[in-house]
Amino acid sequence: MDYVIDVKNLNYTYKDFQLKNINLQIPTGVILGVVGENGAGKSTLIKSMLGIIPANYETMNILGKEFSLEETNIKQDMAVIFDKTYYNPMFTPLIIGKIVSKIYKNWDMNMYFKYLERFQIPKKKKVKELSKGMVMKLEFAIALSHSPKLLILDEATNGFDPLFREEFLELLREFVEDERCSVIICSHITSDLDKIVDYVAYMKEGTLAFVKTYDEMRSNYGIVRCKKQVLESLWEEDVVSYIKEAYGYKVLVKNKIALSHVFSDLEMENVTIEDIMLFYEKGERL
Amino acid sequence: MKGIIQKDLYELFGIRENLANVLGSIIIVGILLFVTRDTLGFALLNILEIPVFSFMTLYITMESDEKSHFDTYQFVYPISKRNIVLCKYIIGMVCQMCISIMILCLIPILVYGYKMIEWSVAMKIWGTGMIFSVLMLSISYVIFFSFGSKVGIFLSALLDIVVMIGYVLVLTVFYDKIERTDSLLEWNVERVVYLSSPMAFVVGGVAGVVGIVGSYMVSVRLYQRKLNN
Repeated sequence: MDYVIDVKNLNYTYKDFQLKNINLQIPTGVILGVVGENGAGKSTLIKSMLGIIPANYETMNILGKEFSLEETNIKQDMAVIFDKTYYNPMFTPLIIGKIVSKIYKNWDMNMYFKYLERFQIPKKKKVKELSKGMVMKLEFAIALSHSPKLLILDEATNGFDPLFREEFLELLREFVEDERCSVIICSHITSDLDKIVDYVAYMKEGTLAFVKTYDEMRSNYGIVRCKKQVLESLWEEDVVSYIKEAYGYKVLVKNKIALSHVFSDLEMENVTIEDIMLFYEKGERL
Repeated sequence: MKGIIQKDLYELFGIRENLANVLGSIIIVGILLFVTRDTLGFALLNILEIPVFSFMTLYITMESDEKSHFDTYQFVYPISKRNIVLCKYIIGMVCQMCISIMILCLIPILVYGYKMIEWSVAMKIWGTGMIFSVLMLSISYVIFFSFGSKVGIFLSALLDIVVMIGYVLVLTVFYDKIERTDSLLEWNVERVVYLSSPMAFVVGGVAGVVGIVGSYMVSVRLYQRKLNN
């Protein structure tokens, strides 16, 4: 199997924060959603994988190449979009296109202009005169115009209006359609991730709490609403955590199929990524 | 690398305010030279103003990168930190070369037009200025990569002033013949220049090359260390 990301034992320490023993293997052609509360280390992980911060690792292969040896080659096939633009606000999309065309070997100026037209971004308007949403669309146009094999988005969808959000999700689906291109998306807008991701990586306090396929998460995890007696009768290894509510308990279980055979009258709800985050952060352990 | 160089050139010459600053500096310097019309003015122009242009270019681009945080973002590009630093040096050296060539083109006017200086003296001063400005660039770029744009511009300008004062004091201490005129103090620059041998220029040239290469290597280290912190 080809892996787009293959990281072993990545560690990074900065002041009182640590990324600890990150191991991550993601196959090519998927969309990985990285979630976690603020300060969990999502952006730090992304920056480590980009070489922006000097993390220590046993191995880090991206797009099948060893990062420490082929960093610039790897980055030719990568595109990154953050939550804001870092270009000089006096530049226009036209100037930015000319600059970036000298950086990436695969830059396609015609494709870039087509995206600008599609996203209705004026070529000669200065970046400082564009709205936040338009700036993010511009970043997206830049990212897609050199045919990257790996697209990384770090909180990049915050400024999108609902109409463009749907178009953006569709663009991502098209991007990974041929299964040679992959996406890593860090976002707090978990409803977007529910619609699109193939893998979910949950980060908590600098560690990867879990990495699962979305299908596995949906088929194994479930939410049960029950009284205390039922909660106490559940096996500890099946319960991730529970939250006390006004008239009972809400329990996140991780073996819902087996449990539904044992407790046939229990109603199981499907989980969303937001539910997983909530239970991992706020829930209590048995 | 071409993309980063193009970006920096756009920032220097494509943004009106920055272009106005650059052109304004050139015009002011030109005016100063033609107002003073003496050898000292020409010597100061060569030895001090040329380095000012090269570190001014670094200041403008570095300040812009720091404001927009492009200095961090550019690491997503397929370009090494070493090459990012090299881009800055290339632009600095090219700007310095352009200003030096402009001054070289002024020499015939000063020699044959205003008759304020002899050709051989002018060429020696120009040559000394080239070497000196490369050495000043070497030092000021290390300062910028150590401290960033705001502190860098202050320290580089201070260094320039200190060098100017030192240059004038050296002439005072070692050459006691001072001719006072109605315009500015006229120092014995010609005597200094006549005493310099061709070997001094060769040694100076080698020192300039060693200086710039050493400066680049130190700047790369400082840049990497700064990012790691």
